[in-house]
Amino acid sequence: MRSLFKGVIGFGLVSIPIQVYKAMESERVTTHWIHQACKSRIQYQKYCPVCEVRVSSEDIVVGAPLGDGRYVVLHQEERPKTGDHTITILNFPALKDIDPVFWETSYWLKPGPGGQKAYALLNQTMRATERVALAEMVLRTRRSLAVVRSYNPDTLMLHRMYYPESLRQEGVSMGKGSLKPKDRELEMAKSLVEQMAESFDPSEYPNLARQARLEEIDALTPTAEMPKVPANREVLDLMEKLKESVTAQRQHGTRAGS
Amino acid sequence: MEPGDFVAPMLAVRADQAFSGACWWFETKWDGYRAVISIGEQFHIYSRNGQDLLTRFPSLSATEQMLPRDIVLDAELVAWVDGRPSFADLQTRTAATYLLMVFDCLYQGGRWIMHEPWAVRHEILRRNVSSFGQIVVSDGVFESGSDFFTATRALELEGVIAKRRDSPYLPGRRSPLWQKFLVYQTGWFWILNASQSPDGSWYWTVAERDSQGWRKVARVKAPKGWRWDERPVYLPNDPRAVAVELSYRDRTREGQLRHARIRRWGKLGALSRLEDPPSGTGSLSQDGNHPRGGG
Repeated sequence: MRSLFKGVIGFGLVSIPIQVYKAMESERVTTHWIHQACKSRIQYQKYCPVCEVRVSSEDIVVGAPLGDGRYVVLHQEERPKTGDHTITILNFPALKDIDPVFWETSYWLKPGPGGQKAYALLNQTMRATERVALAEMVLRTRRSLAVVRSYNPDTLMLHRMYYPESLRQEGVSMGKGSLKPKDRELEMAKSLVEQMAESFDPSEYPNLARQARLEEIDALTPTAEMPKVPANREVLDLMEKLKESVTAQRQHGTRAGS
Repeated sequence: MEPGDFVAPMLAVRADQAFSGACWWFETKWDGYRAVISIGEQFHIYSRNGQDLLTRFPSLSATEQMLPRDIVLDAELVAWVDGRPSFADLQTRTAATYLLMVFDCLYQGGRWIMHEPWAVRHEILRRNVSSFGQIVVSDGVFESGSDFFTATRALELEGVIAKRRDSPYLPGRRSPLWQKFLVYQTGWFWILNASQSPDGSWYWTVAERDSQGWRKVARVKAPKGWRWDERPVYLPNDPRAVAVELSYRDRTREGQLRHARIRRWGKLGALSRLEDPPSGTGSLSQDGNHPRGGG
């Protein structure tokens, strides 16, 4: 497993070096769109239907629609430098105060060199106080809210959060106007729920659709085919790369190698 | 001379350094064997010296279907391995794919066009031949030779050929109308020793000989499958001595080769039987090293 990035948890004056790993595997079985004839992966080309041309990346800008058909062109944001992966702890709420609606993606945190002691201290302290750490983090180009919490006595986990603005407000009152139940109905329903009360064991709910897909792929393995990639294509791509590189150098006005 | 006959290919002189210029065309120098494709009543692919490449590379026969009738083309035959040319696999004929990188047209439309300027021949080439299957029309750029060389070096290709846009085709001549700048130099050396690393792979100690004696210049991984069954003999001119041709970027101040790779190797006695011997191999000099001109 490769770490996504190395970073630092900032906690008051203490900083804890950590490595961030993706925690969840995609539930989908990986599939690609391939050309039936040659089994090669199809490619997407950026195409302008008005000018009827392929558009190269340097001719593409980012525009925000105003809603009346007009666009404003945005300035390209500089990518944050890679040294800048900081997870800054803001405060320590209780886990039950954070609505699960805000959870987005989960990551494992591994202590970086020299960070083991502070990592363990943060983990044990949050366990003892039954609190989690709300933090602001930068992952790749994205700045987000996050929660750092103790997953078990050894390991911390990081959850990237949605910002509160992401929650669609119009859904909040969708259940309004439902009828108040009678006391007897409520009692009956409560006793039914109590009869069905069980603790949650994730292993009891395997992803059957995924298993079926994997079995299907397994059964088809004898029919597997290599894509027919003509070497020809590779050479043409290589020559194209050379030319693109010359064009790029021309634009930068450099005359390196001369 | 008729289409189908052999035409000795035109050769390039070596330029000291990369240059740019409005009257020049720059294209990749592919690392392989020169190949003259000559189609008349018969279909032939000749080596630089006029030997038949079709008998050594029978899969090239399929290219006859992809080319027009009555045409003579100048090309480089490359072994294509892992997305790049591999001279070593061309030499041992161990590649799955061989490509003909076509870059000039000498006969077309019922006449020889070697006297026409390069620009005209190139236009005729592009109109009559397209990249398909094992045929690839080699591409390049006008004017920006230095930038093209920088890109070539970044992709670790062998080098660049510069051609004057107004140059005629001079068969068999090495002419300054064509110039090459090389990312990799090549040279012949001697295998002085071999040692086995803990993982079992063999390494050769490669040396050259100058007036002061032997000088180690590189340590390279021995070709796959090579075993030490016979101690190499170092004496130059002994037919059992093992010579190796290396390509390398440049030398350190102490004379060590940087980024050395094996191109071909063999016992001195066997080298003269190579189908495309390097110039100079036939007369290995007394000091044991022999510069070669290259293609």
